[in-house]
Amino acid sequence: MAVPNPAGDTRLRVTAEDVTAFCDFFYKKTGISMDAGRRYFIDRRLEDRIAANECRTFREYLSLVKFQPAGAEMQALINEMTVNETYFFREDYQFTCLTRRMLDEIAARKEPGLDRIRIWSIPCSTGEEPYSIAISILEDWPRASEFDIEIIASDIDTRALARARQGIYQARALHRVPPRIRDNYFRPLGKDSWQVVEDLRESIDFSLINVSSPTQMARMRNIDVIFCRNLLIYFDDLSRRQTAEHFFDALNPGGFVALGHSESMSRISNIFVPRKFPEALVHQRPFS
Amino acid sequence: MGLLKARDSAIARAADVAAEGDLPRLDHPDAPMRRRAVQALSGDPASVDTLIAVIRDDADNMVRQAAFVALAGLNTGPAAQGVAALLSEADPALRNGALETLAAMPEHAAPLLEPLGRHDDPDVRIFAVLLAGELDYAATADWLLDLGARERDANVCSNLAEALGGCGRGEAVAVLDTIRARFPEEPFLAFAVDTALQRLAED
Repeated sequence: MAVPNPAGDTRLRVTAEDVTAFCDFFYKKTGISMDAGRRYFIDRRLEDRIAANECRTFREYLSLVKFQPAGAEMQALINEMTVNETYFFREDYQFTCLTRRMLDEIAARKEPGLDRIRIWSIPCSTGEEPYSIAISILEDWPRASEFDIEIIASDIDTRALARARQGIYQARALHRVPPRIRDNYFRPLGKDSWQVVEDLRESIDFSLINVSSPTQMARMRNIDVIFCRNLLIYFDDLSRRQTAEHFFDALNPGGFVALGHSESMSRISNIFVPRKFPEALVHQRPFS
Repeated sequence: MGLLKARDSAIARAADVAAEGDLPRLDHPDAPMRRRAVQALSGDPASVDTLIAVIRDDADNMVRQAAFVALAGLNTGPAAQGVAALLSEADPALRNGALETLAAMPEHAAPLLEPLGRHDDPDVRIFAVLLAGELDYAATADWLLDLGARERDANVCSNLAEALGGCGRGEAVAVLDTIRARFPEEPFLAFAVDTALQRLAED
């Protein structure tokens, strides 16, 4: 049960039991394993949502989240609990690997002018990663004009997706973008603020996806490359394995998965084959 | 050519294409179709025996792994028991898959340590010790101490020493000493015990 806030306001404070119950519920809905030890992070966000919904107890709030038919509060809760801090060309050695190695291998199995190349960025957060992928391809892959290339960008956080579609960033997010690239693909909006040019924004398909939902994941098929960086670190072992299985099904045979630098597919599942390129280690769906 | 926005309809079409054709069956000649048949069993508590049979009989890794994940997702006592029986199979990939799957359902795997620790096959007992290391030591330390007091196989004891070194329990020191004394002719065990004692002291 929540206890009164000694600060004297009407907001409730959640207890350790509340946080444990919340973490269990949140895991079942999203696959994200929240560490109950991170109380400073969870408490404030949870208390904010309880206050915003004028709930009198944590149980009342949990019932609202569980049984609200439209699921709006569940989405608001997900938006609060997910982390969206990133920047352009983060871990860009993988984009170099994409344009120097992976795309050439994929293109060798496709018919120029007929087949599409499909790349999936998940979670795309506020858009820095899919835009970085798009710019890397346009700038560094000589065969980009021979193929139709689709970039699909997905996230569980609707607020992050809205920002991604808007494509407006502060200078901090662009600190690794060379001036020439910035001038070609962004337009200044004022001091320290830039927006991705409309053509580029329009070329990326942003969509809401919960990787823990088999139904939603079953929509994703015929993908050639998946960038899934620094997501699985928030999952427990079973959710990681289930996500790896979903990625396997989403990929074409021979397709690649790129994980974050601290993540290892070999510790998650053995259904992929490691491919060690000079620039990066990625994971490939076997051809047969 | 160049960048092209993927439309939902295009993605859905791709999914539809993937779904077309003949129906998935567990005896389908194509592994991806057998895999889909396995995935269709996910969430069905009555599918345990079928999934275990798939793991035993289907040599294709993509099919087996889908069955392991389906069993882990069930997270029930019967699922854990079915998977535990695979620990005595000859195929090491299958045994490792079983171990990983049991580790994903700790609540149902922990009660199985006791019967696994009494299995005739020392390899199964080794897997039981490895499984204990994957679970919460608070739930497994007593079992590790008990097995350490009676285990007579040197290879099992070697794994036990490593697990006991991480269990954080003071009683483990005496058990480790008895393991060392039990195998005076095995220098590798003395080394394993020393390493475990050092780790306990550091903890």
